Amino acid sequence: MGGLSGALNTWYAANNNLINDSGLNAILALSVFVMLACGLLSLASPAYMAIGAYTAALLSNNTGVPFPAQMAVGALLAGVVAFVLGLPLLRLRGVYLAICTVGFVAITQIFFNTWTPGGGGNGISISAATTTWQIYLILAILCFLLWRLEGSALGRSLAAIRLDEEAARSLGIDTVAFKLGAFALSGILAGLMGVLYARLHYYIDPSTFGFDTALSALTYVVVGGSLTTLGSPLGAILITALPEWLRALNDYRTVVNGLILLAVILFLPGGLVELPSRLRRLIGAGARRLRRSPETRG
Amino acid sequence: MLQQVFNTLINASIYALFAMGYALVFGVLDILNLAHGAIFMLGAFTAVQAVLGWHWPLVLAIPLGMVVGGAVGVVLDLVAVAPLQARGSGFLTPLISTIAAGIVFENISLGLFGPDAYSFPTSVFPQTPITIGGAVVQPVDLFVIGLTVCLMVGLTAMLRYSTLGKAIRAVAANRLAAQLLGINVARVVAITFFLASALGALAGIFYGLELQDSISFNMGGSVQLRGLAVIVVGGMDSIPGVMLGALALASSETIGITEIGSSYTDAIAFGLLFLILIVRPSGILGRRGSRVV
Amino acid sequence: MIQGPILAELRDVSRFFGGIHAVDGVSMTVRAGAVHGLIGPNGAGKTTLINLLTGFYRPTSGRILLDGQRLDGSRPHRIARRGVARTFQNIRLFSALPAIDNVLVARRRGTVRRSLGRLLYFPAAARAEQVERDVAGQLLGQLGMDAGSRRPAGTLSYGDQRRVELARALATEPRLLLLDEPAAGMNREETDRLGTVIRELVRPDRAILLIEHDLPLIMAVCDRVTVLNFGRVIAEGAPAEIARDPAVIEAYLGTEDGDADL
Repeated sequence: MGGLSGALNTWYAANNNLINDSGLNAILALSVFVMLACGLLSLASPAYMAIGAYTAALLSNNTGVPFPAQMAVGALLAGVVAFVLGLPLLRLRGVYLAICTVGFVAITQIFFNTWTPGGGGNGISISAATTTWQIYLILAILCFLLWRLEGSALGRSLAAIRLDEEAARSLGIDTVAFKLGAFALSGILAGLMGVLYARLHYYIDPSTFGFDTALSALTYVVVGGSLTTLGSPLGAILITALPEWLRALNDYRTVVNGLILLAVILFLPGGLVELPSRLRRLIGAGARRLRRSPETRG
Repeated sequence: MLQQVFNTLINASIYALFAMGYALVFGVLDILNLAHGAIFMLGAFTAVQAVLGWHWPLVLAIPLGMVVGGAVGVVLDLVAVAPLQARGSGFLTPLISTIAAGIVFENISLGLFGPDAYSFPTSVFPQTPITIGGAVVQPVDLFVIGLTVCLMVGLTAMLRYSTLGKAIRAVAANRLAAQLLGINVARVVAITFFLASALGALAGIFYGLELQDSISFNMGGSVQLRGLAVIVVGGMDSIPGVMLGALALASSETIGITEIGSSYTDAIAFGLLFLILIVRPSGILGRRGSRVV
Repeated sequence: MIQGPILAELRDVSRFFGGIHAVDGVSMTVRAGAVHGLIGPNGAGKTTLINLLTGFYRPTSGRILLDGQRLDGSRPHRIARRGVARTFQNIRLFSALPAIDNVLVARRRGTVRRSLGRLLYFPAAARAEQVERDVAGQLLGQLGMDAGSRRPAGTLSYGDQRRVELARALATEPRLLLLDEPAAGMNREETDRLGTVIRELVRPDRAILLIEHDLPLIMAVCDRVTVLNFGRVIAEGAPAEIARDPAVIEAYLGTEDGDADL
C-alpha cells in the first residue's frame, strides 16, 4: 500500500501542472459547450475568463474576501457581462455571432492591456492559491449538475433549439430566453475558471485571454464530444495531457491538436465520447456481414 | 493629408484582396474559411522563399505565390470542406474544420521556417520615391494599389460576363438549381477556392512587400480578424461591399492612429464591426437571403 | 356536424412581400368543434396564412384574433402557448432525438420545476416527469407509434415521421391545430386513415384548420371549406357547395372544360 501511494505522490508531483491545467481547461471547455448545446458558436469565453481572473486578482491582493466569495463575484460578473453581450448578439446569424464574439475577445484584451489597476500589459500577480482538489471538486460538481440538466426537460429544450429553432418556437419554447440563459451560464463557467486560473498561476496578463485560448477550448469540446456534457472534460484532459504522452512530438503539439481536430471533424463528428458506440456499431456491422451467406451478400 | 489617403489606399487594397477570398467562398458555400489567414501567410512565404532562396525575380515569385496559395485552397476544399458539404453538416462543422486546417498550415510553416520574421529584400523594387501632390510614395505602393484595382475590376467583369463567372453566381444563388442546370457544382466550388486563395495569397505578398519583417508563421492572425471586419461591414456576399468595407476599415484605422494612437487599431476594427452588425446585420451592402457574389 | 363558437378570426388580413400580395384582405372565421379546410392552387397563400396564424409573419394589415383576443403581433412562442399548434409541410422533427423526446419537448408544463428538481433527485420532480412521459407515450400510442423506441426520429419512415409530428403538435394541448398538407406523399388508403384520425381529433373546444391538395380528403373530413386564390378568398362554405362553385373550378382548372374530380 505504501508503494502505491508513494508512486501516486511521485506521479502527482511530476505532473502537477498538467493535472491542474487539465482540470481548468475542462471547465473552460464546459463554457464553450453550453453555447454549442443550443446551437451557438461563441468564442468569447477567454473574455469571461479574464473578468473572473482579474476579479480574483484584485480581490485577493487588496481585500480579505475569501475564496468562495471570490468565485461567486467573479462568476457573477462574468455571467452578467455575457448576458449583456448576448442581448444584441442574438439577432445575428450563427456565423456573424461567432465573429462578434471574436471581436469581443479582442476588445477585452485591449481593455485589459491598458487597464492600470490590472497592471496593463505587464499583468498582475496574485497572492492566493488554489489546490488540485479544489479544481477537481468544482469540476466534478459542475459536470454533475450539467449532466443532470442535459437529461432534464430544460436540456431537451436546448437540444430542440439546437436542432430546429423554428420548430422549437412553434412548440412554445422561448428561444431567446434560453439562449440568453446559455450566454449567462457560459459566462459564469468561464468566469469561475478565471478565478481558479488566477489563483493557481499566481500571475495573469492579457496575452492569455485571446483568440488562441478560445480555439483551444473549442478543440477540447469538439474532440471530446460536443453533444454531451462529459465530452468537454474528456477532450480537455486528453488534449492537455497529450504532449506528455507524446513527449517526442512536443514541438508539434499544436499541429497535432489541429490534426486531431480535423480528423475528429471529418470522421467522428460526435467526438471521441462517441467512439465506443461507433466501434460497437462497426464491429456489429462487420459481424453481420460475415454471418450472411455468400449468395445474399451484397 | 494626401499621404494619409495613400496609406489608407494601400491598407484598403490588402484588406480588400484578402476579404474577397472570404466573400467568394462564403458566396458559394455559406461557409467562412478560417484557414484563409494561413493561406495569406503561405502565399507570402512562397514568394519570399522564391526570391530569397531561389533568387527568382519578383515578377515570377508573385504568380508562384498565388498559384501555390490557390492550390492549397483547393486541397483545403477537397480534404476539409467538400466531404462535410456532402454530409450536410450545417455551418459549424465546416467552420471548425477550416480552423483546424489553418492551425495545421500555420504549424507546418513554423516547422519549415521557424518563428522568425522575414522580409523581401529591398532590391526587388526600385526604391526611388515619387512625389504626388504633397505625398511621397514608393513605386511598390503604386504597384499594390494599381494591381488591386485591376484585379477587382477584372474579377467583377469575370463574374458578370464569363461562363465561369455565371456558373459561380449560379451556385452562389442556388446550389441545387445550379446542379439541376448541369453545372458541376463541386468543380465550381473548387475553382472558387482556388481564386479566393490566390487573392488571399497575393494579399499576403503585398503585406510582406509593404511591411518589413512581417512575414512570419502567424502573420495571418491579425489580418484574419480585420478581414472578418471588412466583410461584416461591407456585406459578406457583394464585391462592391468588400471594397467599401475595406476602405471603411482602412480609413477608420488611419484616422484612429492619428487621433487615438496605434494600439487601438484593433479595437477600432471591432468597434466598427459591432456597431454595423447591431444596426444592420447583413452589412452595409449585403443582401439578406438572396446571394449575388 | 355541429359547430361551436368562433375560435379564431381573421379580419381583412393582408401580408405583402414587396410587390407580392401573398395574402390580400382575407377575412375568415374558424369555429371550435369543426374541421375547417383551406384549399387553393399552389401559391394561393395557404402556407403564408398559417405562418400568420403562428406569428412567424406579422400581417401587413388587418387583425387576427384568438378567443376574441388579439393574436397578431405576439411572438411565435407566446402564440404557441396560447394554444396554436401546427405541423409543417416538409416535416420538421428534431431528427436526432427519438420520437418520445420529440413529443416530450412539447410538454411545457412545469419544465423549470421538473428540471431543477432533477438536479437534486427530488422525487416530486421525477414523478412530474413521469406524468409527462406517460402523456407523451399515450399520444404516440394512439397514433400507432412505438413510444419506447430510441431510434432517432429522422430514421423513421415518412408516414411514421408525420405521425410523430402530429403527436408532438397534439402534445401542446392546442385549441387551434393547423395541419399543413398532412397527406402529402400518402396513397389513397393512408389518406383515408389520416381522415379518420383527423375526425377523431375533433373536440368541442378545439378547431382544426386543414390545408390540403387532396380534395377527396377535404370533402370527407371538413365541415367548412375556404378557398384561396392569389391571396384572396374566392369561396367559402360547406364542401358540397364549394365543389359546385364555378369560381373554384375555374381557379383549379382554368376556363377550359376538364374533369373536376371534386
